[in-house]
Amino acid sequence: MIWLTILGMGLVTYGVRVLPFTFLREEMLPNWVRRGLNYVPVAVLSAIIAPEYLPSNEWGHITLDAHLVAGIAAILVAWFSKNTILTIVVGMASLLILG
Amino acid sequence: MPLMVGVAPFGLVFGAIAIGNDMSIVEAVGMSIIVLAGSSQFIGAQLIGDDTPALIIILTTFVVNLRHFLYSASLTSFIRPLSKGWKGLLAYMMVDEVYAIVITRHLKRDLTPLELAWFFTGSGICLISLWWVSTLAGALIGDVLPDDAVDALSFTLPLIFTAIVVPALKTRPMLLSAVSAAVTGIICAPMPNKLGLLIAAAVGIAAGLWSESQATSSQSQEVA
Repeated sequence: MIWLTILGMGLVTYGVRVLPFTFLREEMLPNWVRRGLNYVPVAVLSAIIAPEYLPSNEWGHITLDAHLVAGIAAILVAWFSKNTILTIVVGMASLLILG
Repeated sequence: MPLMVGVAPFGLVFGAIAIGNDMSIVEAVGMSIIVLAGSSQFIGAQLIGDDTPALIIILTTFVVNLRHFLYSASLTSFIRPLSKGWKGLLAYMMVDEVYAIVITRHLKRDLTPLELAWFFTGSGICLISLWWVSTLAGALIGDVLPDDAVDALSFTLPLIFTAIVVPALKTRPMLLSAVSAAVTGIICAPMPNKLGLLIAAAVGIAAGLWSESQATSSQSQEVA
């Protein structure tokens, strides 16, 4: 099953990359879809990040712990330094010290 | 070169996390060869570890990698004269880091399409082989590390994404898109099969578009 999943992931990824080279060109997409594509990375990554910092296992129950402090620290470092390695180091250190 | 320094640690972490999510060494390296897309591989490994259904994982991968559509689309002017074989090969190698190198060179407009295709291939081979080797090394390390060390390591995933997203929040629509996706993601996290992730992404995209249209209409009112 894992191999089937990997194969499927590979197919959709390759499809997205190869389509603009073959027949589907950007100009053929409606304007709102083209503009919407700009928000894909930010929206998807934010949706993945947030529940890691504020985990919730059942409706309305959010866990406040070291993950949140580490997350806020990482967001502040990323905002002011724009440095990937520093962001990871500060976030990881906060979690290990507090957690 | 600085990009190569960036790729190796992520490959190591991916390899270790894949093992931590009950994947085998062969499956971890196989994913790096077949999927070849950093962020979606991290998410894929995590979802596999959570026993998420294959269809949801594949759909999530599609959404996460939609940005590659924009990458390819921005290169069509140089790709168009090339043969089908070239197009097929270059599409496979279109990962974030390779794209960053190629688009910079493309914008200089100093190479013919064929020269740029070879430049693309050279950059691709360097970075992609490094991704494979570091995945293998990470998987071998993950295999011998204690479980809680691998668990702690998996927290690097949201941290890496934070470092990517936060500096991109320069405009009001981008900020609104990120915040609404984050809030929806937290609220919908208890939904089965990670459906909340897809819903939150859709809400974030819609919020960004809405905010952009608000800004445009208030501008046109000012002009009027």
